[in-house]
Amino acid sequence: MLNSLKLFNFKGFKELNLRTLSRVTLFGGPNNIGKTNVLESIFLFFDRTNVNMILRQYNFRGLNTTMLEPIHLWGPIFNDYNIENEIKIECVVNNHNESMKIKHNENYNRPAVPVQPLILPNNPQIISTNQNQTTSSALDITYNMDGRKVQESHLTIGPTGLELFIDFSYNKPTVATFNPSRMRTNPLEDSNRYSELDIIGKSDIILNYLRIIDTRINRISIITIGNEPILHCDIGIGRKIPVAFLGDGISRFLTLLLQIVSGKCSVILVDEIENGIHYSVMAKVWESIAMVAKDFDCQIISTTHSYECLRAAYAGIPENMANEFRYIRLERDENNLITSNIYDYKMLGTALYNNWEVR
Amino acid sequence: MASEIVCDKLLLVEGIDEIIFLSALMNNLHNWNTTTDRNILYKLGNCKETTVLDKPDGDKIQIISVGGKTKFRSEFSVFIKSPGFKNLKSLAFIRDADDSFQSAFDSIVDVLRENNIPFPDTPAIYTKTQPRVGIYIMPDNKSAGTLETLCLNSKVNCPFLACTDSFIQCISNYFPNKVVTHIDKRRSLVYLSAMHEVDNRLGIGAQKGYWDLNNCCFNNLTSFVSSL
Repeated sequence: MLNSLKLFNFKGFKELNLRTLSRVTLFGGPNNIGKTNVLESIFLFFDRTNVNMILRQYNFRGLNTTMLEPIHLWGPIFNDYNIENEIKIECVVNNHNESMKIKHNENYNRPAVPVQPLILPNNPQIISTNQNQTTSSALDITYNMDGRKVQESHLTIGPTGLELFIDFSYNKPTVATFNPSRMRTNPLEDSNRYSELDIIGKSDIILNYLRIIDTRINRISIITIGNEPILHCDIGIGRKIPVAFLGDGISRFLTLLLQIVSGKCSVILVDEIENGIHYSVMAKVWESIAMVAKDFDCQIISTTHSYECLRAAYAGIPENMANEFRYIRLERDENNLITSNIYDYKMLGTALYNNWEVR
Repeated sequence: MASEIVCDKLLLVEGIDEIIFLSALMNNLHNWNTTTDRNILYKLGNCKETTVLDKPDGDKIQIISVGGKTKFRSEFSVFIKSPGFKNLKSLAFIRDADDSFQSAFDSIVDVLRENNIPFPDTPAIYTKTQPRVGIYIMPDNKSAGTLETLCLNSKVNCPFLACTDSFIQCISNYFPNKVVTHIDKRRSLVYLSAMHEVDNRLGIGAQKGYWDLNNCCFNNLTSFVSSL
């Protein structure tokens, strides 16, 4: 569980201090204030052993190409593209102080790296070398836990793209998943997770919750089309149809449930959680998400633009989980710095009851 | 639609009736009109708990109902988290003195102090802080009473106002063991019931001209609102 988060020089934030995060945490605020940036910072923090840790973030935003130069490759994650400043992400995770520092290094000395095998046409033999390459640009990433350095790695631009060199790593990061607002869910991941649940007889949990959105769903099964297993459902029309055909809302809800119930993700990040969900079932959806998250010890951190979504969250979060909910509204102060307003469950209820704006 | 802060000059009042009353008062005396700004109208929709008044010089003032003085005390800490609150240039409070002007004034000061908002030392005078903060206690920043007291003062020469006292006196004879409270609220209700179109809301009475909005008893109040 991520208990708090501090950001320095990350994307739009010169500095941001979020003192209280809960099991279910919702972020609101106007456009371009940094709601998605907060989710991305958390994802980057936990995704730190992935060579694509930065490129994935661009991909989530719909950007599929970039240039192989530091200012283009990792400039966007630095505040004002200023790669000379150090990014710092400080968290309390399960009551441990953890921090990640990211620094641009213009003269990184790449370690011994085998050059790609080269086959010469006239004299076929494989040539390889272990000699050091010249220096290159890199991001030096260090990670501390309770004051002790437990990981050091370097993300660098290699001959074929980004490479990650991990000098050492003594801990296993919490697993986080990111659900972007605009990307479709990955059917293969969903199928795999569902299969694992089916094997241990827990797939009915998913079915029961999905019925909140569409009561016609009788059964879910995996059907392989081509080489790809795809989740299908029976809605009583005489044949099974892919779940995705029921709509974005149910697909997204299914993905979310699978991520939670699979027990493999501890922190689930959802951008614009309300997308595709009809208002009439939104409170029930919130109730389900909160209860399943508690049962499977998951944390849900999400963004929203929707007043309906906030009302639904307030109505749906079970009373016994009231102290496990926070709504955090980001806003820009007179010095152009981004600050947070934290509403606990009761405060949000007061504001909503009075019809006060909270977004 | 939610009640959103859309102006940097904000007046907080006890209820919707006060919003209607002040809109009518400021329209009558200073030609302030309900805003025609389409962006603001879009944001506020049909939300009844707030209105925005356009001054002839183009300035805008927003009035929001906090839904009663008890709620105000307990809920102000949430209200100040609202978007736009930190950008306020001026903030004013109008509430009834009820039984004690001093208690009412102190009550608002306490809430402001608890929430680290600047507060004035005296009523009807704005602080020179950011935001400027002012407090006005009905009816006149010194006496016990309510907005109804002020409205009734505007009709002090009305020949049949005395009938309201007779009526209340007469009725109270039937409840000998009960002390009659909120006298001015009762008197204003009786007074309004005598009007051509019956409506017990004080603000609607102001719109319909049942109170004398040109009476000098409103001068301090209009001056306070104009200075926001």
